[in-house]
Amino acid sequence: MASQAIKLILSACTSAVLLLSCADVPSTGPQPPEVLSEFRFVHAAPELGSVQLAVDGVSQGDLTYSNTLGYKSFPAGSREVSLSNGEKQFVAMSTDLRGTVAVLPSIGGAAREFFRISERRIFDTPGVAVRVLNFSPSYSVDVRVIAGADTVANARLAYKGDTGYRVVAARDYVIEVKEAGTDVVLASSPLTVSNSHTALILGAAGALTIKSLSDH
Amino acid sequence: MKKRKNLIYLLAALLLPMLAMASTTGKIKGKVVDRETNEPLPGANVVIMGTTYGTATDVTGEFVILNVPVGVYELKASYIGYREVKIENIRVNSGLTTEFDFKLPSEALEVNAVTIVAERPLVNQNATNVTRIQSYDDFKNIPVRTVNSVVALQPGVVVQNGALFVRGGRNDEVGYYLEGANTRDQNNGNNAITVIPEALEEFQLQAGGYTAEFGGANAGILRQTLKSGGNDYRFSFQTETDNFADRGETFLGTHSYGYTDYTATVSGPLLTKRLKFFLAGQNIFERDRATRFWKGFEFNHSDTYVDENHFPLILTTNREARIEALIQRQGLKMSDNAIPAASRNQWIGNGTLVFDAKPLIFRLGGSLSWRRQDDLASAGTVVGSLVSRMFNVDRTQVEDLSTGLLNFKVTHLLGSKSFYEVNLNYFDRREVRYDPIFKHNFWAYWDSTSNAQEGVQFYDYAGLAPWRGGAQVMDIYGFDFIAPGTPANYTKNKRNYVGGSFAFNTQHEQHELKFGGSYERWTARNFSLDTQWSRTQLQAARQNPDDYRDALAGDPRAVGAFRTLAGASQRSTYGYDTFGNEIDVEGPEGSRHPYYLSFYAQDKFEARDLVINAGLRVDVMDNDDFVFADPTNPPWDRTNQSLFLDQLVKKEAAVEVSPRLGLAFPITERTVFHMQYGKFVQAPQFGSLYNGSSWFDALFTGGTSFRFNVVGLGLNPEKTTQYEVGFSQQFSDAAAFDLTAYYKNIEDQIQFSRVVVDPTSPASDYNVLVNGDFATTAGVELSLSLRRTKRVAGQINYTFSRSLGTGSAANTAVAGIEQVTQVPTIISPLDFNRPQRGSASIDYRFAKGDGGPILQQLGLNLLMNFSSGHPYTRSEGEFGQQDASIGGQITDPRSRRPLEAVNASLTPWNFDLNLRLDKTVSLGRLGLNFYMYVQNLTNRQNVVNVYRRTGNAYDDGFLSNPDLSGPIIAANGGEQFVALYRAINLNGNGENFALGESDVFGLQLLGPPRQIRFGARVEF
Repeated sequence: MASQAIKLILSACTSAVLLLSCADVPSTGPQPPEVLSEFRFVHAAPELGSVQLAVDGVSQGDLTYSNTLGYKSFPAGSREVSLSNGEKQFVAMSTDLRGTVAVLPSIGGAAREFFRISERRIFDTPGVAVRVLNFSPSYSVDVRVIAGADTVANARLAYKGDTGYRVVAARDYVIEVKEAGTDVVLASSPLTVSNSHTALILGAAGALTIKSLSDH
Repeated sequence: MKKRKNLIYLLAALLLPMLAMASTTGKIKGKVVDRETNEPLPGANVVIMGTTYGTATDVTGEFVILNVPVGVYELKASYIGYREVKIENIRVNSGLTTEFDFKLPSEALEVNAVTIVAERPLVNQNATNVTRIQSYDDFKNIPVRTVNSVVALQPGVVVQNGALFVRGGRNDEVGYYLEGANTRDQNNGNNAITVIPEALEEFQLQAGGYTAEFGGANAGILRQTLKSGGNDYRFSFQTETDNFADRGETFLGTHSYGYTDYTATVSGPLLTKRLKFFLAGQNIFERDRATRFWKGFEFNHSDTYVDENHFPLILTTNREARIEALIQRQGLKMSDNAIPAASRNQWIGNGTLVFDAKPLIFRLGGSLSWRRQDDLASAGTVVGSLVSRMFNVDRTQVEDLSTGLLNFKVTHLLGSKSFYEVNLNYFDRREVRYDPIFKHNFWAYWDSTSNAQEGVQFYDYAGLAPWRGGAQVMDIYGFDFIAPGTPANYTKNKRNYVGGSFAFNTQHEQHELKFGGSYERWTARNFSLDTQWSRTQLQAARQNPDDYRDALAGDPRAVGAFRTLAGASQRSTYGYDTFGNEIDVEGPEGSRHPYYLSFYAQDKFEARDLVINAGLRVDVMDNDDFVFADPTNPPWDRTNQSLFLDQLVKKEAAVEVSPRLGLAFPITERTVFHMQYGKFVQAPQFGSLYNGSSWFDALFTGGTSFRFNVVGLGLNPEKTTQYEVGFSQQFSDAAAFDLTAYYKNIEDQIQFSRVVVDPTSPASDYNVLVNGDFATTAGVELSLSLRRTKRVAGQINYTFSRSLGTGSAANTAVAGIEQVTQVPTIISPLDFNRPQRGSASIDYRFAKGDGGPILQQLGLNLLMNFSSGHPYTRSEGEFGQQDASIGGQITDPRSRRPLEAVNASLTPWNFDLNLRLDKTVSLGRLGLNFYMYVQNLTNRQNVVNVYRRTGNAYDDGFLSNPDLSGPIIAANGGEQFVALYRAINLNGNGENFALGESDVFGLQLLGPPRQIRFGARVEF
């Protein structure tokens, strides 16, 4: 009986000690927010050839001219983007930003630029819009996104120039690129707009192409 | 068996150095003699019925039963050739001696069995200091509910603004014990454990002169002992409520506050008669715990100004239209005596489990409580008032608090004259305050995406106001209201100790010798994040994500950067990193582990006409705090704006010796004279000792507040020397009085000081707490008791006191310091000195079978409290940097000028009358008790505080002084400002009073209004 009583007392002790912690006062802080960004990569350098791209030393895949590596999440902050040929650069991947890094052509032996553009904040709903960027160092261009009365235009877009997002109706368009101030059409490409799109003008003189990307 | 004994001795020897606590038992002594001849009867048996306690008389016929748990007993004496005699209703009090003599009739005499019903002695013959003892039965009929309310009625006690003061000591100088274990919250000195009144066997208030066994408290000891289970199963259930009217409405001319109280107890044997349990549980819910006089108001939108209650609610500043629309849609509306978002729900459990395996006795006792309440000071410091929350009540800060105490005691009886006991105890208090939507996830508090997902839309139009704790405010005619959607602050803290004690007690002839000691090792942590910083922190993480990750990984540089961002928000954070994770590192950043070790020895000599209680106590107090090797040249790194933490010096533990001497002279059985002398010491509270490294970093740059969160660097214990003389006289069979006079000299109390640094030091001058204040208090306490005679019992308590000192609280001197004058050393009346105070109660009760079927077991109790006012200083001052709504108050002590000597004025006298009516119906073993009680029966508006400018509770001297108020009124909307000012400040019990005058939230100008509660109790 005595041992039974002592067991009972010890059980009561244990229960009471457990109950002492009844208010939930956590020993650790809340799970900190991850603070992420989302980026994709575009190969815009015709002279570079195929390379492997890494972020902070972690391979993201092979990249060939005019192709992309799709959106991926990265810890926001200053991330080192490197190519398998040894070229590298830090890119500011701002918190909650969805963006694109374009690997631009090397010009005159200067260090290659990894050019960052922004689409939107991660949590913003994309609109129906089009923007065009000129990544061809060979030309300044006039750009038109043509669809009858819905045509939008932008003149004298210099190298690395950006039309900014232009709100358009969802429908089929043709993107037409002319040498700035002339009627010389350098490239054109159809584009079906359903949400947010980015069109990139790539290539060297005489070999321009238009790369259309969905930003959705 | 021998092995077991050795083990016990070894255990005792090991525990001896970590030593003990206050006893929760008493003793019974007396003599057994022949009724005819008065010859002593050696070898007579004396037993406590229903227990295993008992002894035999010695050659002189005398007996002593030690270590008797507190309670009411039946005592039986028997001897061969004699008829046995029983004495019923003997009450044993903790630490005291209960004395009864037996006169046994010879068997040769033809007498019936002798049973004597003992009456509780009106005069305690062997107490060497005045000890106020109340059992549950003593106070269950008076019109108060909580144990604290009963304590407040005792002589020498003052309750002011919710804080308890004993004999002129500061409110952190009272020691609290439950089941012999310390229950004081070492952070602020308050009692951390709530005892259910129905679970209380008795409490003892020793306002001074306690024996060497007790320490760590300079102004008084409150000892509480829980009930134990008996041989029979008992059960009780009680409920009471005032919930008879909707919010803002009245019933019998009285407001309801949505109060409900359910209490149940169960006790009895468990498995065997040697194992007994007692359990009590209570749930109290209060819809409006801010019980106060409050005159409601209603300002509705109208296109034109109609009168002072109807005017266009257009913002005075150019804010967003949607805010203006919101206010115009809702208006400003509050009901009479109804404060929104002020609820509290609490659960309390008390219990004991006793296993009597003589010579070993095991006792487990403890208390657990949990409560959740709306925090009345929610979201911001300056705009935390009750009215200012009305547009944001959904995000009123929530507070969860749990406390627990567990005490396990083993008593080993070594024969009939000696025993020792070992106590092991664990105390835990933990608290968290948080936003009701995102709770502990403070990262989401200001995250617009997270808020949007919860349907919360920020009214983030004006940015944060750092001087208002970061709250977003809407300015309506100069009055600030917290904007809808503003999240709460986040704070959490934990304090616990592991302790133990040992006490050896032996009776040797007339000497009761006792020695022992105690040990407590505390762990304390504190974390705070105000609403401004939770937003800044999120922004900082987003804008500097790599630094943020480095900080999360523990990089000291990055952590330091975040700490700096936190600013004043985290000055008092220690034991947690800046992200709320517990850390245990050396230095001010880590958790603190103070310990308190004590040893004592005492001898109580009890002769028929002389009792001597002499003892010596040694306290070792290690505060686990830091000092600067040279305070005038602190190790400050100006380049990095931080302290060289490695140059902080650990403060040495303090060792104090406290002699105690008490004498009692039982001149006759009805007359006792006593005198007492003692020295007492106590360690400073954590709140005066600990801040985190952020505070140190800011200390030398003027970045800390000049008066908030200031702590000491190497504080020493506070000391008190007390003298007490008393006289008790039973002047009839039913009435007695005691008169006690005391004088106390208090030294080394904590006060503000400014350290002027060496001219070559890179640091700036800084404010710290130091030992310096001193006080002398003296008083006379009178207590008159009338034991029930026929149907009437009564009690009158009265105290006359005079408490003078250099400071009523640590920050009293801050104005002098900030005005660069000398720290005042003028002796002035202390804020909490109420020169005259008392209570009178009368209980008229029909016993069972008395007064016929209607009146039998019907009782009426009237309790009147009276008190002179407390001191304050009439003052004047400029408007300064106050908010317009603060108006006539002089918020900033730096711009306050006294018009008279410090504390030369007194607030008005207070009176209240309380009533309780109850009726018991007995149905066999079942007892049904119905009752109602009324507090503040006359609904008197007692003025408990006044405005310094006027000495009045209804006029702060602002509107009536055009020179002072004219420009403020003109700049804030004219008549509209005046109307709001009257409604919120003057008619509304001074809503902004607490924020301005005292820096203590919760101060009110008027005492509580009338409350009526109805209840029923069933027991068997």
